[in-house]
Amino acid sequence: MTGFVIPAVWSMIAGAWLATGAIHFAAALKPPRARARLAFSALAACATTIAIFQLMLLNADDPVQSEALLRWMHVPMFATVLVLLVFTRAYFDAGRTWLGGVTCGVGLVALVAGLSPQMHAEDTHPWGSLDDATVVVLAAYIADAARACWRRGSANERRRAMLGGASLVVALALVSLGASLQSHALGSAYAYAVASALVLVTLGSKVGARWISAQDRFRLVLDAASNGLVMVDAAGRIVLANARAARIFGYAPHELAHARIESLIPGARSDGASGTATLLAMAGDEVWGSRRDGEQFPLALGVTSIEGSDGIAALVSIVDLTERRRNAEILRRERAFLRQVIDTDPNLIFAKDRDGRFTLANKAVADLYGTTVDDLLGRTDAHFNPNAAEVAAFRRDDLRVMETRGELFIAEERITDGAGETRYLQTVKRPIVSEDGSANQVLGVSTDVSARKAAELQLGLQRNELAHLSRVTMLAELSGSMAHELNQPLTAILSNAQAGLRFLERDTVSLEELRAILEDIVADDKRAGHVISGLRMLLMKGEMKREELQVNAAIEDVLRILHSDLVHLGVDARVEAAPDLPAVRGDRVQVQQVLLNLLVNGCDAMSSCPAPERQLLVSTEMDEGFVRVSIADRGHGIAHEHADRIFQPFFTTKEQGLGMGLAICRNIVTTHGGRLWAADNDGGGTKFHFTLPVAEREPA
Amino acid sequence: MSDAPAVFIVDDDPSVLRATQRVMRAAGLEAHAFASAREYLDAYDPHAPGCLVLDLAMPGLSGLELQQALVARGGAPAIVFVSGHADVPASVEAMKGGAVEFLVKPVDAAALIGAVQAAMRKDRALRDARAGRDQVEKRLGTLTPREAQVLRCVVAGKLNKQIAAELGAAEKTIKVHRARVMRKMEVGSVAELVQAAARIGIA
Repeated sequence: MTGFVIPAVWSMIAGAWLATGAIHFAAALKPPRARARLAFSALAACATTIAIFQLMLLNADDPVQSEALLRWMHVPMFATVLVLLVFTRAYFDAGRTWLGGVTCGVGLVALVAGLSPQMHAEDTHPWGSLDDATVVVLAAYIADAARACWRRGSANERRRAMLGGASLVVALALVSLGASLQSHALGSAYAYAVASALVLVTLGSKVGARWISAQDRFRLVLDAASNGLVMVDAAGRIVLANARAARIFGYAPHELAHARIESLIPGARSDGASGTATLLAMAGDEVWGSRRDGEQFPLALGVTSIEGSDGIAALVSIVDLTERRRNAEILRRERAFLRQVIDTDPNLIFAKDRDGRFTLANKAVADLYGTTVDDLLGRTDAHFNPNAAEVAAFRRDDLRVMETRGELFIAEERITDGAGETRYLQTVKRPIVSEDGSANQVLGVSTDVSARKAAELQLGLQRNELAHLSRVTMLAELSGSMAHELNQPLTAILSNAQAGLRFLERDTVSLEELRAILEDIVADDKRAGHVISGLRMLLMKGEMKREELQVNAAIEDVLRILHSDLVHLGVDARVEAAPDLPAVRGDRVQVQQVLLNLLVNGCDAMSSCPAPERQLLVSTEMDEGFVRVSIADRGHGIAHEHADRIFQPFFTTKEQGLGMGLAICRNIVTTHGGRLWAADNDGGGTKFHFTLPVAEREPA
Repeated sequence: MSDAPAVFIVDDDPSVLRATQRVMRAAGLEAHAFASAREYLDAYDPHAPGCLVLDLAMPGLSGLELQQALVARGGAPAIVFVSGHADVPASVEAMKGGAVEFLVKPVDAAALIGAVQAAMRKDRALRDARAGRDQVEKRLGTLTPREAQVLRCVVAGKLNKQIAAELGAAEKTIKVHRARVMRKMEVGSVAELVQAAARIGIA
């Protein structure tokens, strides 16, 4: 019966192993637990081999063959030991390395002993106990690993430890027992034990397959979490830690199991009381963690309590703040640096919101208002600036920039500073446009141009002084002419009055005649007054005015002043005035000065010409938004080597000349926004041109 | 233009021109006004008696240039210059050209009238002198060449005998020529004849 049943059983076992081994091998190609499944497949292969050996042993006829089979069966047996070691390690995710090493060593010795032919020469061989020792050590290794798995605590692992560990150990114990009772049945006992163990393991793996995969998913989720996650039991022991948590604290994942939470977070130490409670109290805080190498680091703690059968456990979420702290520090430094940069800038840099409140201001702004940057923020201009008109202007500009979302350049604006002094700013304002396209802030950069403005005023003053000096000098030269101009009406007045007196001495007095005389006297008196006021205007020192003036009228005035001189010099001055010229904007006196200067120059240039050629032509015309005045003489012209220099100060070809006239003229014209240049006159001599911008109508 | 003496005023300043004209009229003088030298020159009549009140500085032809132009035409009228300022070189030149007076504006009416009257007198004298000379020359023209020879000798203070010897004629013949000269020249004495001859430059 035995002879019939046993071979059948071995055949079936071998078949079953092959089938399950193949299935697990297929499964092993994909994670999770690929290693455990692969090991299981290998185990199946080993078991099948052993089963085949056993079958062959049963059928062996002669002792030599049996002995050889027995000898070679040690190879799959050793392989089985190795595979079991690997399987245990993978399956329980535990196991002491040294114990595994010992098992390997003993197994290897057993293999060497088993393979030696001398050993099997005798019936009783002391080396046979080596096989038993291997089994014992292996059982110890498995038991230890199962214990570790059990102590990790989760229900899954406990079940696994119990099913896998206990069954393997029990099976191996049976093997050892059987071996010691029946030393000859070593091979079959071994095979039995292994087979039953493997069957149990198969059962365990079948039962476990469901929850292993559930656990694997859980594990995956845990490991995928960006936070470190540690589950702590009521006593403060770590039940579970994900890979992230292990990495944060510098441990391997399995090393954290059963460690105490205070070894990671010293602050969680509790004296007797529930560790969970301490942890819960720390939830949400930033606390210090302790890495494996002793480094202390900041971490953010989140704690969720889990009520379990053995008290309140806690799930602790850990975020390593080291990086964040470092980033915050970098950010802080960068901000401080930028702050320093904008505070170093002498320009005013600021931003304001729709209500006019400062959202940004640099030191320059604070200094101007005589306060601090912190004090400025959240306040408006009105708080610091007593000048309501200025504040209103700022506000209007700010709102305009935000409405139009366009840049605004303000060439000059006034601001009253903290000391009540008026300062001048040149400002650019730009909208700060948010992502939705609206602009609720305005960014401004202002340059304090007060000093420049003062310098400009000073320069203008000096320019006026110089222009005046030049004017006075020129008028001094023209004094004879001026006296003559005044003399003419005085002469007429005197003659008229004396004639009138003589008429009165007659018997018959013509009232008509007397009326005509008096009318002429009035007219001449006015004429004299006009000459004097014109003179006084030219002699007067004053700031440059901007008024609308008619160029043609100014030319007439100047020619009147020059009349006597022109006559005296025998110069024929003609005017070709364009009719209906628009007014230009400028200073009447200065424009007259330019005309006077150019006319006198023209006369001087022709002093050596024969009388009929002493012709001055003054003409006016429109020139693209400008009124152009041209003064042509027929004098000696300008030597080409002097052409570039005539407008330079102190350049003169006259014996008695300051050389300032044309320089000042050009300055005056340029200040008016026009141009002054010289060209050769077609009929010989020189033609001076200057332009003055047409006065724009003031917007109503 | 009438033969009555008149004042011709040239000034480029219409107001001064008008006032000067009034002063002249107030003094009972006929006055003609010209706004420029050219205008005056165009209307110039050398036979019109009177004087010229001339502004020195004028556009176009100046007062001095007008004076020179008139001299070039063979005799300017008496000129009173009026100037805006006391221009010494100009006044010297004006006086050299025969100006009667050089006045500086503003001109007192009395001074101007005085100057004008003086100029008028000068003009009349000039005209009279010219008229006398013309008469003498006309009479001289009626003399035969022999009579003219006798005239020069008489004016030179020679006796009849001396003249006869010089001209190679009889003393009696010379006497006849001499009487005819005296009659043609319309003089009553040798002194008168000498005076008339001096007028036309025969010494």
